Amino acid sequence: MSPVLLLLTSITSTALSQAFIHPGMLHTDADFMRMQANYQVDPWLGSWNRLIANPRSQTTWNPRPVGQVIRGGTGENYGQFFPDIAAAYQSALRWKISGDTSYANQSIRILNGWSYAMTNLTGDADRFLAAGIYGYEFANAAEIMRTYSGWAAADQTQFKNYLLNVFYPLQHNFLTNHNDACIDNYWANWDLCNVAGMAAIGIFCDDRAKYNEALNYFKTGAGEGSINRSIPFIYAGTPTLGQGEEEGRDQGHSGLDVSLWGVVCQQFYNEGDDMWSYNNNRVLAACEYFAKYNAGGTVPFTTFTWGSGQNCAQNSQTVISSASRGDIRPSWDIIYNHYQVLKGISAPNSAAYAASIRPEGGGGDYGTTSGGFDQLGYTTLTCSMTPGAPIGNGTYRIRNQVSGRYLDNLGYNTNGAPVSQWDGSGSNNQKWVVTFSGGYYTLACVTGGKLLDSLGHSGNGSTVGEWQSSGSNNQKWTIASTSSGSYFKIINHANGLCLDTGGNNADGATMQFWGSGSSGNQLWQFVP
Amino acid sequence: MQSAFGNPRIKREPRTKAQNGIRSPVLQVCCAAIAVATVFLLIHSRNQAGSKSDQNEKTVASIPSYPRSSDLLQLPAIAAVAQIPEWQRRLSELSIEPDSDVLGEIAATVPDDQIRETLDILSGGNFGGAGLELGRLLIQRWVKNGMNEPATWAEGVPDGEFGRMACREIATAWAQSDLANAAAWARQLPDGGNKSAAQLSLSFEAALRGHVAGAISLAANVPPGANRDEAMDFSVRQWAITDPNAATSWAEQLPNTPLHDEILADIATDLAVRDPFRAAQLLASASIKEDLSDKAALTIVRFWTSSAPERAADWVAQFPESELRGDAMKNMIDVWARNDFAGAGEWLMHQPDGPARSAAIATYESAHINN
Repeated sequence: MSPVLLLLTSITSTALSQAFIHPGMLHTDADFMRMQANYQVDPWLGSWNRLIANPRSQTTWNPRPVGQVIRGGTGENYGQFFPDIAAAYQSALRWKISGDTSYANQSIRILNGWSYAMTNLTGDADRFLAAGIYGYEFANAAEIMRTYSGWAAADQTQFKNYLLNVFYPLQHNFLTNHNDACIDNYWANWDLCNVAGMAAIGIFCDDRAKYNEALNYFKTGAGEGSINRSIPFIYAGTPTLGQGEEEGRDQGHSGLDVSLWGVVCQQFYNEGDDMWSYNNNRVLAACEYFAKYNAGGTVPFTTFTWGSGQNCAQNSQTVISSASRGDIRPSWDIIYNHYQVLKGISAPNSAAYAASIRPEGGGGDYGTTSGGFDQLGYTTLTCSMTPGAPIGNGTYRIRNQVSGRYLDNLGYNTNGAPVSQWDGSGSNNQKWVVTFSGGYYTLACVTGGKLLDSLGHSGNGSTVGEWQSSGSNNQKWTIASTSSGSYFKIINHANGLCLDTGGNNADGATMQFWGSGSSGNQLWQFVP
Repeated sequence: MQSAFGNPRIKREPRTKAQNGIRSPVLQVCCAAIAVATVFLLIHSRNQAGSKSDQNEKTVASIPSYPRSSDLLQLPAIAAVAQIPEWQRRLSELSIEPDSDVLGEIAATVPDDQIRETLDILSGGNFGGAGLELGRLLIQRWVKNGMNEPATWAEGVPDGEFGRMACREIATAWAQSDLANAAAWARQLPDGGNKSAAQLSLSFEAALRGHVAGAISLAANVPPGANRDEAMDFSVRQWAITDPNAATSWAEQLPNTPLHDEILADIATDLAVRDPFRAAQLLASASIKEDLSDKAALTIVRFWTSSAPERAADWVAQFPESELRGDAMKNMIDVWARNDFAGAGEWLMHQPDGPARSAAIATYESAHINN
């Protein structure tokens, strides 16, 4: 390959790998396809019913934007802010799942109302909590709505500027300075919500630097919200348990940490950074610990020591706190579904805890004060999956991570024709009807209706083709999640090999089979 | 980092029961002296601990050498006579900006039977934002045991920031269980800022519960100003959810003030989400200042186009050639072309030439590129 071509390939590859997935953050298009396909059956239905019964999910909810939001201290008024954020998110969900545009209009009325009115977020030190929690929640509502044709480009720009000017500076300030307090003065949830908020703003604004700032902080930050500090002690066993930073404080705040880990990890995961699995599934260990204790079990505890105030006065907790034991937050189906359903990792305590809360509601259902709005909720609706079926039934374009090209039958309609890739065109040759049945997927091209088929091949480098529906194992596929977020492997049931570009990024290149590896040549994104 | 508050603390004897309750006149005088000194110190400790982001707050270097809270406790005349309450000591020792975690811990040190006297101290002194937050937390605890005592106590709280906070908290909490009695309580409060705060809170609560007449009545009793206008606006918008005609008629009777225009424009915008046709009718018949009316019209156009583009187009086609017509066509085509490119193009083809159509065609072409 010539140096020029090499450079071009490199640039293209970099650009592709750095582009954000939209909609992303908590929910991708594939997630919405799954919700749309299932919301009339349980467990999705129970959560959907709670969503549509919530007063903040109605088009009759009237927002009350103000110019300055104050949390803590003189003039506190944030009580009129967080219900509107919940309303914006819940209306967005209703629209995206049901297709009823009146809810889309309601959501953008709230988003626009606040983004044009509010210019300042202040208060006592709680303003940093507000920046983190409300920053990520509002950005997630907006991320859903960015796909709505009724939201004007100018209004989206206004919302981006609103996030960047009102929320991000506080988030950055807090993660950098911690309000001039001792580095471990503030509990983990303070950092975690600001990591969530900063990552969300990075994604919504397509700002890689801010996204990376949040990601790097979560990996290695100095404060209590980085992953190792927010889960300081690990206990080997089955399952592995992880003691959260606030376990000696109370279970209410420990539960808040669980919900924030879920948000942080899912937002990064959907953009290709798997923090769920980071450090040997450290977040899962903490969830298992919390769920076991709060369900009545016993857990080990290691004395936790920290410094408080400006002078780092030493404090320690020697036993786990039973205060607010049994804390319930609508944040558990995201954890259970990610680990146990999607990845097949045993999570017995989290599974039981999720089952005890299911179906989850949302804003205001778990307390009418601010704590009841510290998470968006409804993860039974948004995150439930059929075991073994991470992709909902529907019609998708299937894009390779490295080539950026789409699986394409090139218009062939004959049994045995090879299947190739081509640049995105919108053609039916690139649209595949993905159906999960009997534990496996079939993928039928809209052009011709033939199914993706191994053609009986079983060697590395052998070609992939199409054939009329036969029920053969050659046409059965597993779609497996990977550590690359929204990219999946497509594995043939008959030969156990992965669908792979063979490293050829050109239009028209024939798809091949290769054994499972770490290459992006066999990573595929399902684009509705 | 070496703190400015690094002085060794004085070990204090445990409080006796008699010392906990500040009934004695001597103790009251001492406590009052300590409270004043503590307030003085608290103000300065807040300045010292301010975030770097708060440019208005003083830096450590700029602070004169005032006695610190722990220095104060060493004064023999005071320390020998009385112990200040735990909450007050901890408040005075704060070396960082207050937050809900810290203040929650401090509030937890106040026994239930000392909430009232603690609130008295807080309301009588200037404890700043921390005092307000602490007071709020204590009131929220107090009202869980019934409204009568807190409500009676609030009647005697002087007008001011603390009193307004207290009355808002009590009114809001009471409204959850008994809106009528809460409103009756608010009405008989002494005239002033505290009463207005309670009535405004109750107005919002009443409006949210569909008691529109009560909500408007409560808001109307408050002296004119932005807060009252906001409550009136919200009440009428809530009314319009169930009866837009009645709400609109009522709003039209208002004097020709900015509030009149804002309420009508807001009703039209709210209605556009659920019933854009009716919203358009309302806007056409109402007399509203042009900028507010145009803004509402564009919202109606976008919302209507998303569900019924042909009907929205019929409405826009009635607009006379003007800047509004051009903006409306651009907004409509922006939405329509993204949902139905061919349909939008077909409609555009049949529009008469003019600046509005030209602007819309540019939007249409842009939508084609973005698609």
